[in-house]
Amino acid sequence: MATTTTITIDDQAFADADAFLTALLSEKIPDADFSRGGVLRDFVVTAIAYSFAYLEKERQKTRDQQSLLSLASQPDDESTSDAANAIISNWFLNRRTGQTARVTTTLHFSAAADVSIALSTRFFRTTDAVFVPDATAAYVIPASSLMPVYNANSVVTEYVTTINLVAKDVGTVYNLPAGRFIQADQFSPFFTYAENQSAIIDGKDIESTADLLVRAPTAITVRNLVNARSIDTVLKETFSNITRVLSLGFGAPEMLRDFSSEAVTRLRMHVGGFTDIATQLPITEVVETGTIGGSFTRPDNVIAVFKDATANFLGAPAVLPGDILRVVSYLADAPREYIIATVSATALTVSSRAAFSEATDEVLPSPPGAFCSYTIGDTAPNFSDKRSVTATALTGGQTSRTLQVSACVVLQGRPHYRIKRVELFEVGTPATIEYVTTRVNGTPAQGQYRVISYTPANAQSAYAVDLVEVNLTGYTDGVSQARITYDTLVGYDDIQTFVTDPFERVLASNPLVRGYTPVYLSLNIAYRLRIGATTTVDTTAAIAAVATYINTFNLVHTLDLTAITQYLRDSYPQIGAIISPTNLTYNLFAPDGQVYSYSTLDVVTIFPNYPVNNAHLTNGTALRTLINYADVDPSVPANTPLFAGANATLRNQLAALGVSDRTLIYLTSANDITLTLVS
Amino acid sequence: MTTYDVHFQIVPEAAQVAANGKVYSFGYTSAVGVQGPQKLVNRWLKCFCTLKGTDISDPTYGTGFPALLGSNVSRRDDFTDAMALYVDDCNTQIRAFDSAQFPPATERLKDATLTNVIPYGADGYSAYVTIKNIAGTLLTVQVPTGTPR
Repeated sequence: MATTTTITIDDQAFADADAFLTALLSEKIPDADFSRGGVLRDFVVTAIAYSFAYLEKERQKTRDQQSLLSLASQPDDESTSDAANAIISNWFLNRRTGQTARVTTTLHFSAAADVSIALSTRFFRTTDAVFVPDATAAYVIPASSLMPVYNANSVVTEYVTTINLVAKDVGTVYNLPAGRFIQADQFSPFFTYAENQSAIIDGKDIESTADLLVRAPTAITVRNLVNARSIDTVLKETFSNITRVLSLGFGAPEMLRDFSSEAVTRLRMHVGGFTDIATQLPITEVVETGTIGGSFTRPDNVIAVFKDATANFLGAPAVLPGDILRVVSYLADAPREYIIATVSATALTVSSRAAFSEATDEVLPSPPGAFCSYTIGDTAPNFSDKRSVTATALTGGQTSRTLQVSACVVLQGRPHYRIKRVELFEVGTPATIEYVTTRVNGTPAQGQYRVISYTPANAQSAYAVDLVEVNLTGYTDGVSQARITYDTLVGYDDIQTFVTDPFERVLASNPLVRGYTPVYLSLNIAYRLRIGATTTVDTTAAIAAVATYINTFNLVHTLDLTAITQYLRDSYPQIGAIISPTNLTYNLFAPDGQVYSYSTLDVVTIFPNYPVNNAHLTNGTALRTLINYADVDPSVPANTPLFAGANATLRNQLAALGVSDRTLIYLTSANDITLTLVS
Repeated sequence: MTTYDVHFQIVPEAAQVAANGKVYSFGYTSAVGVQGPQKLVNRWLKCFCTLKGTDISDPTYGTGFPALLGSNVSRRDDFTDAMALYVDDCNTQIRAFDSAQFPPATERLKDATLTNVIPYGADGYSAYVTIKNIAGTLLTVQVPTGTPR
């Protein structure tokens, strides 16, 4: 039953009811006098006119609430909400319950001691904004994991660690700027304070009726993961934290997995059968610690490595990519040939499309596992002209799903957005920690790191094989540690598990949930106050507002600098002028691990189109496949706005990585924006 | 066409206590229709005895007369002056209704005047109003200020 408080009877409604009843009764009882001032009018008509007006309003409201078309024009009160829920539920669609804000929090300690943080421990960002640990079990942080903080005299001043917190409830009230928590429940005598170093932005209120109705058109669909419409509906209905879904299937230009490509033979077949599902989810920070140059299981579980600890594949006659590895024993399908893709001293990789059927290094007892006899060569039919090895109980070749790359750490299989910190240190309680902050595309020098993706087609997914490579100066492969802090997507694993569930997935499809390809924006804005302005601009709030504007920008439209500055001026009328030129730079974290850096004075696009727009690539010469304007016309300096030839090169290069405008997500944070008052 | 309103009548003073102080009643086991001069009298009395501001549909309907009952207006001249004002106010409202609804001549107000004010009890008065319709019919009614006759 609708609540009575939502219906207001105004004078007009009352007069209408009075007139209707008078006309009705005058018609039915023609010899009765219903004129104004009479007893019948006042005692019979007017007495019930108010109730009639209420019922009439209720009738109109009920009628309006039976149609989504008219519901959209109703005020979003409780009864409208109930009606929308009822109608939408006919299509098994439910209102989203909002989203809890998440934040990565740095905890500071005065001494290094083991810390245990129960799930019920409360952290108060404000008196009303309460956060608790975002985990399934209590955080147990050993003292050795607390990172020391040194002052200028190399004296440890405190210890820090990071944990993820989640708001106690849903709502945008938890979206707060970077800052200190005001209080926390007692969990360690050495705990000093907690702080969030980036703004909290992903809290969402319960879905409004208007937003719910926007989703209605796609609700009438088959509830299977079979096409873009149904995938959109099923995933958004099942996972309330999904903001945007893009399904890519057979023939989609961004779908790379549909192609069976062989780097060596250049064979490229369009085989189909794959479904990529890009999802926009809240972002959270995670920390991984690994041994540099250690052994890591490939996240995609492909058994593509063939290793022999006693071999030297680089020695004469050198094994080359394109040579044939012939495994002649142990594997069930032996003998069988594999095309070699990469070569190192003791390991080979073969195409992941034609990988090994079994990881022999995992055969019990493991280690050492089982060994294969093999040959390598380029002459059929035995391919034995370069190597011929007969296995023993403890020697020979082994197939493996592990990767071991010098100076590299393999990240866990999940979306890898912006890497925030790379810290290098020795195992145990380190005397020093090197903070590596500069990401490069080439071989990293000291203080630098780079990301290499072995599987660009699987980028930003559970099957992404991304390596973080550092400079080994002062560090040792297999011993030294790297601690990597980066952003990833909240709840990604649940969605991937859902779409690959044998009961849910399309039987003939290979589905993969991915994150959108991130583009991080940085912005420096100089402004002047309006003449006569009596108040100043709350810089922190203004920066947060701009960050929210960019992070929630509807990518149906093209983001441009003018819109950003205009939004700022509209939001803060005391701003009189934005001083040009405002510097907007942005970095595309491409699926191959490279960073494509851009700058613009107008539109934000990864596809510059000189002279139509001012956007241009600024690090073309640093890319592994150069995109350098000077290559097109040496008379013009490199990295000035690109001409058509370079544009095409860039477009083709990104297209080959499966990147397009619709697979992007623009992101920024308050730390990436500066707002400067100039006089 | 002649139309009927519902008739109401004054409650005898002896029965007013039992009627929770009500001074008017439909008074019958079934409604009684009324037309002609009595219908005019009913309309006039209903307006006169309605305290202005108490009608939810029209706060301007009624007069200040009900507030006079039990008030500290005890001098006869004061009472008479107040009654005259209220009668004029009531006349104005009834004429406004009539001009909008065009009732028959027997039910249309020509004038109503306060014709008599008689002391009643220690500090009360009985008031009489003569109501005249366009057809020329005169009806004198006692306004229920204290005792019915």
